[in-house]
Amino acid sequence: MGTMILGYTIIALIVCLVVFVILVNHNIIMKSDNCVRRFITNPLTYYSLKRIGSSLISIMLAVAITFVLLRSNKNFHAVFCTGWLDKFPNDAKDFTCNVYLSNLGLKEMYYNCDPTSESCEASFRDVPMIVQLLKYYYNILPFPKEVCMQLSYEVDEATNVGEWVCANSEWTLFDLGVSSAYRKGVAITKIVAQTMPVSFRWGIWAILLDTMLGYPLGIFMAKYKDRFIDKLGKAYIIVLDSIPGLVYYYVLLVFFSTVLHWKTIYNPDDPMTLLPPVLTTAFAGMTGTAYWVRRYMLNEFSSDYVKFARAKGLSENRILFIHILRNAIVPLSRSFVTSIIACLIGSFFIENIYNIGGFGGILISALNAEDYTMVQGLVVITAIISVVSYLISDISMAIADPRISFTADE
Amino acid sequence: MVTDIEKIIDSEDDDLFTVVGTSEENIEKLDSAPYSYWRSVWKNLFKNKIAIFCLVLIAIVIFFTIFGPMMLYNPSPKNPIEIARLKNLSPNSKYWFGTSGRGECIWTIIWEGSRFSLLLAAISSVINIIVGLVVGGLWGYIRKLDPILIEFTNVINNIPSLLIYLMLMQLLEPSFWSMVFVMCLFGWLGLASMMRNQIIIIRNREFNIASETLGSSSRAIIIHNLLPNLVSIIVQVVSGFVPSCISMEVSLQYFNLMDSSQITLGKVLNNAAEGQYVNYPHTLFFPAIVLMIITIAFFYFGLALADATDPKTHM
Repeated sequence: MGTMILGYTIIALIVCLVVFVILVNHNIIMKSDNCVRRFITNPLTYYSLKRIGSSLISIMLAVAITFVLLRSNKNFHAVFCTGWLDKFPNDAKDFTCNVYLSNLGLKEMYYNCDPTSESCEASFRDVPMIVQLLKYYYNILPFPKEVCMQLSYEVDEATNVGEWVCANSEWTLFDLGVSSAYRKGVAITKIVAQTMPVSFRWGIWAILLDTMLGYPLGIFMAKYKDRFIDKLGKAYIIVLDSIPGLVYYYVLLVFFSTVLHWKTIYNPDDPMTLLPPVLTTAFAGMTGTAYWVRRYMLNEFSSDYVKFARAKGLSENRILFIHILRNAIVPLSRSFVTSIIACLIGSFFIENIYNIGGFGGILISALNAEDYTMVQGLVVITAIISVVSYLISDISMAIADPRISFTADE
Repeated sequence: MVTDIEKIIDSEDDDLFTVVGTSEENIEKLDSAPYSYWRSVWKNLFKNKIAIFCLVLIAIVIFFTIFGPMMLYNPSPKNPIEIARLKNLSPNSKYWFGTSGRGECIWTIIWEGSRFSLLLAAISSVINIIVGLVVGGLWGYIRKLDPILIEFTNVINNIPSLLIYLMLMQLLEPSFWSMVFVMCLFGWLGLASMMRNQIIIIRNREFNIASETLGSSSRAIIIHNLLPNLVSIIVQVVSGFVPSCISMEVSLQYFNLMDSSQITLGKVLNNAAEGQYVNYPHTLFFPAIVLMIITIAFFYFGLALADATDPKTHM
């Protein structure tokens, strides 16, 4: 209860702060000039707050969409009770299933009282979706709360009545519920915390290799525009962009396993097994990098400062690497930040093909196992990560690049 | 050089020039053919050899998609003994592409699968184009729609599209039309947002402002000012639709959504990848090659068409 009050206080404070900032910016309150006003009316602060606000709305809508999509499946409740109920007698199955569902917050128990016989019996009804959604919003609000990390089923020997109890609870920031099929009873935050580093560990190598290959390719394509290397690079980009991702993954898998005889099952202790997934990702990712490097550099080629540098007699290489590249790299650094954060999510297909137990891989396993609470949790995490990565890259770009203006109208 | 010309000019020598006089014919005659937008598009397009090659490839693929199963049709074996006898055969005169690990004739299932996949791609591309054009046009013109649609795009872009499609496919009964529905639900967003950006850019250009000031009707503005500048952008976005539909179909089939009676290219490929492609590389090779040819040909032809439709490249 205490954490509930704390949580709502924090929400109320945030809302108050937002209203305060908006009011100050529209000159309604605090008209005198002081340091607080100056800080709030600073375009950078206002821009950042606006971006944070719209990202929060994005996350909330994304959660709502997955919530509705998953819950409108007609056998949504049934999948939670398949498999593990077999050992129960038939008349107890329904009740046990309902108890489990109410443990997950999908159903609630109420007493159906008959006024004539004065007896009450417990029955279950669905919790309205909007209540579930609000509860979920509260659960993913990042502040410390006590979360059940392991739900286990215990049967009381004397009465032979079983119930789901929390075996182990911890204080964490997020509560995404527990997995319902893939790793039954384990908290999703725990699974995410275990798998994200795995994805990040191979993904970061892929991003580094992608950058190391993509930038030189893009630079050379821009330098020798319409010459052989440019055409070759363009052909490479077109081919990799157009063919379906899975075809490309399978072709490289066959190449690695039959021609090069590499091990294609990932093993964290053997660095050689890191190569196939890293190369697959890097070769595909460098097309985008090279394309944008080439394009931004060609944009800069016709600008005045390049003409001036040429007129002053600077060597072409000096102009290319010192002057053009530095300016062209600014918009690209943003996608670099985004893709490093996106490493945490990993790739759905590559992690499954090479058997890496990362974040993207378990997402597919969860979908196949019809583990809906876990799918919900993982989608929420994915949405949060992508929103936050865009937010960070936007704000850091706004701080770093003086050319960016914050007001769209001017 | 300069001094030579100056000398000639200064000399005022009349012998250097002859008077040709005027003729009615020469006044009326045009030295260059009148500019026609679509004729220039075709001329530019047919200059591009690779684009023509891609067009021929597309024609061949469509020809085989229609007539391939008629030319050579080997029904898939049903009983396990037949499957064991027929599986993983090398290409021969009866099975032109060999047989798969399930004893199916690869030639037959490839063209049957491409019939499904190409039809799916074609229908969903047409729907996406129509919806994208209408929504994009409205989006660019009605300013009040802007914040709503931008927020909507942000939300959709933040959830991986594959996940939304998978969740939707689990909701709906997997069939051809449910796949069309899923592909069309958010597929038009890219085209619409591109249209919106271009319309806003062109609206504020000098020539459009001048034409508005001179009192052109909005119909004339749309037809003469906006559309010629938009065509190449639209074609460029649209050129990605067919390949991306096919690739999304392949990705969705990774999850075995459809029932086994319906053959699709994605299913052919994923089944081959589950089988013994290490010992029998042809089982994976032929489906992969056909998928590559289809997607690259459509993609490149679209790019070339986008180049040709850009009025800036016309002579």
